[in-house]
Amino acid sequence: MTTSISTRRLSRLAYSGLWSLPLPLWLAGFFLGPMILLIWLSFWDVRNFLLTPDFQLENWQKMLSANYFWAAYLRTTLIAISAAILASLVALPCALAISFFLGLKARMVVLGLFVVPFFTSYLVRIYSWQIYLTENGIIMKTLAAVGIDSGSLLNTPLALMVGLVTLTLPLVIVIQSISMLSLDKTLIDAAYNLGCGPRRVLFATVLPAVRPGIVLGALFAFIFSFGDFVTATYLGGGKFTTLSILIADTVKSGQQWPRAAVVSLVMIATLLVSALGAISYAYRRA
Amino acid sequence: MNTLTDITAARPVAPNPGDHHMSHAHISLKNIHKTYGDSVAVDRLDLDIEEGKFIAIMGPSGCGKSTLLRMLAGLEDVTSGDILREGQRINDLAIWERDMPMVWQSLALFPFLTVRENVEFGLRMNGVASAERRTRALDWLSKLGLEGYANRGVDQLSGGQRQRVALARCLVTEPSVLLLDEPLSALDAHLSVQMQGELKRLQRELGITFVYVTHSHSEAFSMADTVVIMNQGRIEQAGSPEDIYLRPATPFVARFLGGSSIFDCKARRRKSGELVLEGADGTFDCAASELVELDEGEKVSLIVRADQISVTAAAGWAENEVSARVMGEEFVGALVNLRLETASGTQITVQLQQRDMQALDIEVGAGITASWHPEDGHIIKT
Repeated sequence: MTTSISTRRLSRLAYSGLWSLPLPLWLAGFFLGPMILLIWLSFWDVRNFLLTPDFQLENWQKMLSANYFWAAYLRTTLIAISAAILASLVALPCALAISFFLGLKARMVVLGLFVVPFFTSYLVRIYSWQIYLTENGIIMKTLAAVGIDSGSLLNTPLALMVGLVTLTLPLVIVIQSISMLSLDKTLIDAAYNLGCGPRRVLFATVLPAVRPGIVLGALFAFIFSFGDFVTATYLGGGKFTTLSILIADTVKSGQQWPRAAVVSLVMIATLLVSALGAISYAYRRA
Repeated sequence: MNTLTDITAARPVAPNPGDHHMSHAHISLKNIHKTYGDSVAVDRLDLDIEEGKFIAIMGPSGCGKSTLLRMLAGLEDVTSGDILREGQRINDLAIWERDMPMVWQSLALFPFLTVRENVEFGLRMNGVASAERRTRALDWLSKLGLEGYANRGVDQLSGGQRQRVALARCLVTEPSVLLLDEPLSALDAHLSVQMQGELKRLQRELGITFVYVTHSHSEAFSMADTVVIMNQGRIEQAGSPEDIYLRPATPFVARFLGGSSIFDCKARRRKSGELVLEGADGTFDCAASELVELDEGEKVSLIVRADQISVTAAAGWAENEVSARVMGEEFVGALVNLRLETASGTQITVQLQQRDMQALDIEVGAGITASWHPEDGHIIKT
């Protein structure tokens, strides 16, 4: 009897242990390890194009005092914030329609369609946009035909926004929709019941109630845009040096992996702070 | 517990201009009908709700009581019929134009607003200036004993406190009618009883009309001036709690309220000329006043309340006797509910004092005689 109980307890322990093992393994192997490596790397030296383990602050001093670094930092932040706002604004009416105007079946279909973009490579989608946005693309040709001649749309801030919204919009719509669908509809009835007309209900009730979803959607858009390399390269033409492009350039020119690590760590710190800030704002009361 | 004594001072009860009648129908439902596809939720229902009265609408789930309340609030369209307030038809008024605030079963407090902002919501929607809004909200919060909680989030309150916030949010706009949709069902029994007392006092002091939907007997009977019992979209009976308790109008009401035994009988005239009731369980005498409108051969239900039936081990002692078998017993404090069943399958409920029960020495499965005084039977024509 006692043996059977202890073996049962043992097997239960083994079972739960087996299932919970991957988490710490993953965290250690793919997050903590690389993170420590990255931090360590940022203090290394490069001699004659060779990485040399060292502990010197020169990489940090050099990058953090460089104007081009801060310019890229500011540019990247502004681009990412703009993309997050734009994606959120475009997503909002879509999510509202999905959550409040579509029937159950139509809703499933539409939400399903917003997942389809994830099936095609982001790179392919950005290349497609290139074709549309070039001087000989269909958009410029049409505009030229009606007498508006503005050259190529490529390598403009607009092209950057198009690319980043292409990347982030489906996700933002899905996040916003989920938060609207989980909204207790009684709250809307209660608002009506207290004299809140249909024109005010959106701003007085629906949007405040789904604020966590809107903020989290924007946060994800910001995170993806902040670290994006593809759009900045292929639609911005490298004209807008973002932090990702800066990392690539730093690595390519003179094997400056340690300096790239510095940029990388600053990016990680920025995203961490923005994520914490956004989440605490999302769940704060008005 | 905070008292509500200063409420009448804060909000004088509005007189009813031009009201010369003793009873004034504040809200009238005229031939209200509501269908969902083929199913009828509310079936050609008429109901007058008097000004300043506490009316409780109760019935089993699916009886249409919630639909009725939702139609009053404007949350559901009326398929046909009229809803009148002070004689004015309000069918076509939108929800936000009705001024009939509701206390929701889920309370539906706004989680993104503080307690004070929740209470201010209705005033804000009515365009009341921010300073006045604040004063009135804080005023109501203190009336309901929530002074220190104005800047808290609603999720930081206890169940009873949230209940009060929901009440304050409705009452701050000084409505003439308050709708309540099973508001106490989420509270534990003790808190619920306490809130019942407070709600009743609040209603009396404010003098406004409360329309209260519930499935709980104790809530309806302890608070309401008028109880309406609904079944399958119709009103089975509307009246004072006492009236319904003593004189259930239909077998459904008697069954729904529980605690009564129902004997299906037929009226028969004895050779001596008086009417008696004859059924599968025996022949019963009844008070002359109950028999007045009965004709020979008419089918009736004879209702006897549990506290009016006594049990004896042997037969032959009383006028209306039924032999039955003991099916079970439930102890409710100092009382015992004894469940009996006759040979024909009629269920009988008897309420006894604990000590009488012990004296009888009753065993489950044993035979027993139940009896009652002819004056205590209540007849319903079926």
